[in-house]
Amino acid sequence: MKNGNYYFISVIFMFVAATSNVVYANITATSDSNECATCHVMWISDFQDKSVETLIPYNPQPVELSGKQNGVASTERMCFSCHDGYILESRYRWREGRHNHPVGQKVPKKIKIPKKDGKETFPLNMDKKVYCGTCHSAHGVDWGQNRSAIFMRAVNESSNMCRACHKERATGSRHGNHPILNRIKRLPENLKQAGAKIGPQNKVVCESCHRQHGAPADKLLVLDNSQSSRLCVSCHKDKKSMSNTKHDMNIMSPDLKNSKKQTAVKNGLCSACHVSHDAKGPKLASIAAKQGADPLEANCVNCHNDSGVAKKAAIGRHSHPINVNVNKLGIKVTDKQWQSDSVLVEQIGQMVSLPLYDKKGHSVKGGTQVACGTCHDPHNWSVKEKHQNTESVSAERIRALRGNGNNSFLRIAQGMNSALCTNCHIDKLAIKATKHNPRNVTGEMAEMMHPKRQSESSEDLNDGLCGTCHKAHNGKSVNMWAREVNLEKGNVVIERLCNDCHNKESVAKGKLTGTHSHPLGITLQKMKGHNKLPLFNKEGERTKDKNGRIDCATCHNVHQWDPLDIETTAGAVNEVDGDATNSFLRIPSTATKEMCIECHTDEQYVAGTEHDLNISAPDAKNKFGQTVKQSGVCGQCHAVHNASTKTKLWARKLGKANDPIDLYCRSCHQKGEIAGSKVIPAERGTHPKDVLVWSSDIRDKAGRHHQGKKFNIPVFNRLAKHDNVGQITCASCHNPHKWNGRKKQKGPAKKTEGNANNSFLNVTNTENFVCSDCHGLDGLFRYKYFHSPSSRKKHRLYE
Amino acid sequence: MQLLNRKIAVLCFFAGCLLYTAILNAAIPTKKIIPLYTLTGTAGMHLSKPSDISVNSRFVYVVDGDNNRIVVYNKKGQYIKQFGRFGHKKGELNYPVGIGLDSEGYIYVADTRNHRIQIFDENGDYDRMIKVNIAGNPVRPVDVVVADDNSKIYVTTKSNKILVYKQNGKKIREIGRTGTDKGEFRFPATITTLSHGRIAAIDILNFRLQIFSDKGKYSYQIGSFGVRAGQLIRPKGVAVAPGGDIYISDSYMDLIQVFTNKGRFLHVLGSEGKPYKMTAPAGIAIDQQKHLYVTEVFANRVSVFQLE
Repeated sequence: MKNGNYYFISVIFMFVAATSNVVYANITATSDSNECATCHVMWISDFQDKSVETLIPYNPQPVELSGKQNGVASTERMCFSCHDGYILESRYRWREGRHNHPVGQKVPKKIKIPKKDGKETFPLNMDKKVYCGTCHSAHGVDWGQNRSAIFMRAVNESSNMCRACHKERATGSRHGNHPILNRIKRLPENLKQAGAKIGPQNKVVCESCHRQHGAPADKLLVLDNSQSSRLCVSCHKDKKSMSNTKHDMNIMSPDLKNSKKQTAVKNGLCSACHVSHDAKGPKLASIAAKQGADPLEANCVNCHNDSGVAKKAAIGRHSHPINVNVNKLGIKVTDKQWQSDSVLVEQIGQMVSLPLYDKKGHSVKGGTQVACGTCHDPHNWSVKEKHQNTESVSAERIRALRGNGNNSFLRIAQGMNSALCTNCHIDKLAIKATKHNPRNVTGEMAEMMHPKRQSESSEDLNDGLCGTCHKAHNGKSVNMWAREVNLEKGNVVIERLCNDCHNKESVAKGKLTGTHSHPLGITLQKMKGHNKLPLFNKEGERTKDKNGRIDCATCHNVHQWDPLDIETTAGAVNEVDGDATNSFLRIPSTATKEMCIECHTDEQYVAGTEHDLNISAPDAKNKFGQTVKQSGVCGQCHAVHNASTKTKLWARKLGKANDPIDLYCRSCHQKGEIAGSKVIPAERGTHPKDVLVWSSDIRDKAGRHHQGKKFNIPVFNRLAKHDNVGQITCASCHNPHKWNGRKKQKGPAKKTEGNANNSFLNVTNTENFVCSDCHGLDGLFRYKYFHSPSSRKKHRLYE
Repeated sequence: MQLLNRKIAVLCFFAGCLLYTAILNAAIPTKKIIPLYTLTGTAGMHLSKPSDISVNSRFVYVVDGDNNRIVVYNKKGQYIKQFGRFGHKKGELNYPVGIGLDSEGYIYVADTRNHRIQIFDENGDYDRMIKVNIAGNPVRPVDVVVADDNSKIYVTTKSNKILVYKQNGKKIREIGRTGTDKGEFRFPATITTLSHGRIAAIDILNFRLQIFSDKGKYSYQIGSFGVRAGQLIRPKGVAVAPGGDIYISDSYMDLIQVFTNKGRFLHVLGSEGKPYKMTAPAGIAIDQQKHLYVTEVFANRVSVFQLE
């Protein structure tokens, strides 16, 4: 090479050397090979060239577990280098104090990262920890999705990626998680502003409540949910009214913790009862139900029990039943709409369709069971006083507040006519037009009826029609009794309740049962009747047990004056006096029916006989001045209440006789009375009184003797009761309820002159004929002697 | 003699080689900066992801983007006031990014998510706005600078164009388009003015600073992709020192490089031979006193340095 060439080349080199730093600035900005290195900075080859001094050191961390890639791009700083507002705006995701999806942590056992071919679809770093690249990458994963995600491993449209790992959070409300993939109308604007998202077709997704980056609140919530549960009420707007009520634990019990150790102060007032994940029961319950608790009330009684935080509002032993089927009240539910065939529906306008539940406590479309939530909306203190609910009332005042029927979280304000009660118990609305409605009782009586007057200790003031006698919780006795119960006022439970008013010093002092009244507390074991009327156990609760006992409510339905006319207002008049066709009886006395024979079936055959005064003396009156139409057939002789005598509960003026049974017969069978044509001579017309008869044998229908139980011919002692030894009297031979002793049939329905085959003779107790059992063939003559003056001829045997 | 000349030539050749190699292997030149103080926010609120900054003779204006406000300090670093809050109404901001000042004290804010430039007076009171759009469609502005004579307003946008407005809000020109060629952009960021009416705009994902004439004609560029001195990874901020040197911040490499106004690399700001590590430096500004103001976005602060 010539010298000149060497010089030239040298000059070139030196020139290049001198201006070499210009080369740095003029390298072509981009090339295809640089596209990857835009994020994978550590792939730049200069890092491998030891002759090159780089502006930043080589640091390939983090490296994926697979070891395949190094210099993986997804570090926080790499992401931020574009997402700082200059290219994309994500600064809020890095806001100080904000919360981000954990990175640098091992995956908890409950979270299962999906796998394919044995490898995690969403990779962990070499320390088996979650890192940015677990979710983010310029490269998608083969996850069966038909479109690519942008800088995410998978499309997260319906929070699919979230749910891929956090499966246990996306199981729905039946499994303790807030429902997702349900449609809503729209995402509330405040949530949108907070960065929340909604899935396609407006479906709720994980990102509707959570943000992976820049969440302002713990648990990656898009809104701070402490105290007022802003996040929850953004969607559940109707629940917002719970703030500043007695269910707001921020006020009532700030230290109360749910099963996740959360308090209302830190986690929001909703958290006292609900959690979005890991719920312990229906309605996303935040506290596990106590053992044995009915799921339909478990949520409530967790607090409303004798030792709970709401012990002052414990529901008590006598409380409205839950887990009962509304169908039993004649309510039909179709598509959650309530209907009833009761004619009283018109009085309430339209039935309110209250929430019903299945037996597990879930509010479902086909639910039929009543739960606490049927009557109560725990989020709304008062439907009626909505604007008086909350914000302006001080916490202290909230704590001291006592509820009544127009608030207390009731779904329907009770008002004057107990609207909530009668929405279900529509048949009970008939009480409105009776004297059992305090509004129909005027003056001093009305005051006396009010339950508050009953006891100084009574704290609740239940307004309305039903509240006079009932309170839904903490009743003092069965039937959710709102009034005091005095043990001295009766021998059985219901009787005591009734006698709270039906006593000499109370509002129904004009309607007492009297000294001699139908026995209560007895069973029907001696009766042959198939009783459809309600019977009660010792506690006063209805029972179908054969040992169930009679109580006032066996015969009376206190809510309905006239059993045949539920709409009648006849019973509303203060002065009205009832009879056997009304008087709150369950079964009225009609031409074809008597309530008495529901139990006293043997006595039904009096109908149509001459002892049925419809036949023989329709205008006759009993001691109460009632004709048979008013009193019923039985009521002409017998009085359920205020009877003249204990025995037979006699409803007529007793006749004159020395015989205790004869007294009853002679009420009518004496001169001047309605059976004056059928009179037996008092002195000589009855069986000799000094003849005492032993009558303990029994005979069956075939006439065979049986020792022990039943009298052959019943004889009576001086107290007019059956006895082993006693007098033969009217009832020894006659059964006044049965015209023909051999046939179980009603009477001929007309006045009839009888003979020895009928005439109310009680032939079933004799082998042949009543008199013949003792007197043989002579019996007939003796009979005629004593019964027929014309047959009474002087005979040497009878003086 | 011929032999001597040959030897000398060979020696020069190898010397040149060695010199070339030595230069290649030489430590990256740094220039010391002296930290003065930091600005972290006030009015009861810490700065949160401040993205840009502008200074005049009296005040320092910081875009506190995540808080949707502009915070004003004096030259001693004392808080003066703030203006702006989140919203869409006049005077309200929605994640602003860039800021510029004119010689009359008006403050121009790139109200990015509201697709507009809002102009405030020196008291921080709303004055007027310019809605930013291209072909009638709203676009998001990134940064704004006003020509030295206040005649024009230059706005970089996320649509890869620089829009030029008159003070009356009328758009007079669009510069650039999406691409990697000269005059094209992939996410223009901060913008500043140079002498003779020229403008210089950071082109983030083309890893360069592009210089245009006052008419908008491409002139030249500074920087390229890489990790060598003079190369860029995530250029964000640009500022011109009183002497004309151009400072470019790199929010990934966490440093600021200095170039001549012709584009020749000078040094990295640093100390003791090492680059001064910042935390995602983005918007930068230099005042006449050679104070360098750097928004360290990720660190939620503004750091102020004295340049030598």
